[in-house]
Amino acid sequence: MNTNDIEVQTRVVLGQKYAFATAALILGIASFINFLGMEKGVLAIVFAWLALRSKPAPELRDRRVWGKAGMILGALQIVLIVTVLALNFDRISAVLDALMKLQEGK
Amino acid sequence: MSEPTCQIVIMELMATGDGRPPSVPIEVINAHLASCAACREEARELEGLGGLLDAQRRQIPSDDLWPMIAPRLKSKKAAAGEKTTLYYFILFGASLALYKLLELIPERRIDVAFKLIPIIIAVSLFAFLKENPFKINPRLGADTE
Repeated sequence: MNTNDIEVQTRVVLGQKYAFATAALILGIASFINFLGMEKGVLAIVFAWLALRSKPAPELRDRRVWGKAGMILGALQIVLIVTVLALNFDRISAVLDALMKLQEGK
Repeated sequence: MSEPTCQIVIMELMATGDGRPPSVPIEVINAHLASCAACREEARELEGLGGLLDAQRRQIPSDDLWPMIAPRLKSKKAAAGEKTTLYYFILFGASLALYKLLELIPERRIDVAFKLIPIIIAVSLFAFLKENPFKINPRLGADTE
């Protein structure tokens, strides 16, 4: 392995480590946020979009499917939660009202 | 011109060896050297000494110390920056922990705006640090290398 190869390898490894550091921080913050679990789906879409977009060059070649799968799973989770909420809006409202009354009755 | 003495010939050889013009014609010196074995030997030794001295080179001091200093300065600056950032993140973590404790209070009213507090804190921190975690930075790490 020549010097140029070692330099390229160092940059690639560092790039992935920077990505892991960013992901760790964002997920750490997200663990304090609770929007019915949709925050994780949003982050999956955002990270996938960052990985898959063509700018700045170079474009992602390996693990492109991973990015697409992450985006689809994140979107699917959001769609499912919104659908369940929409379909059960009356029941959820009743449960929330009951909870509020229970809280006020304490 | 009279025959030069051995001493004069040696002096002349030393002078010409130093690059000075000879005061005695070179033919006269050569004629003396041809007839005097002691002067020939002396001339050979002078030549050897001259060659040895010519082989010496003056050491040129390298005053450009910047290439050695610059990376050390950069790494020190980066370490100081990391330390400052760490304090901000500790403060940030403490704020989030406080938020979580407030969230766990049972008498608290359910409020959607309250749920936005960690996002506001995080956005404020990144704005203060002038960093965007969702931006690909091609120069990241280049300054610390």
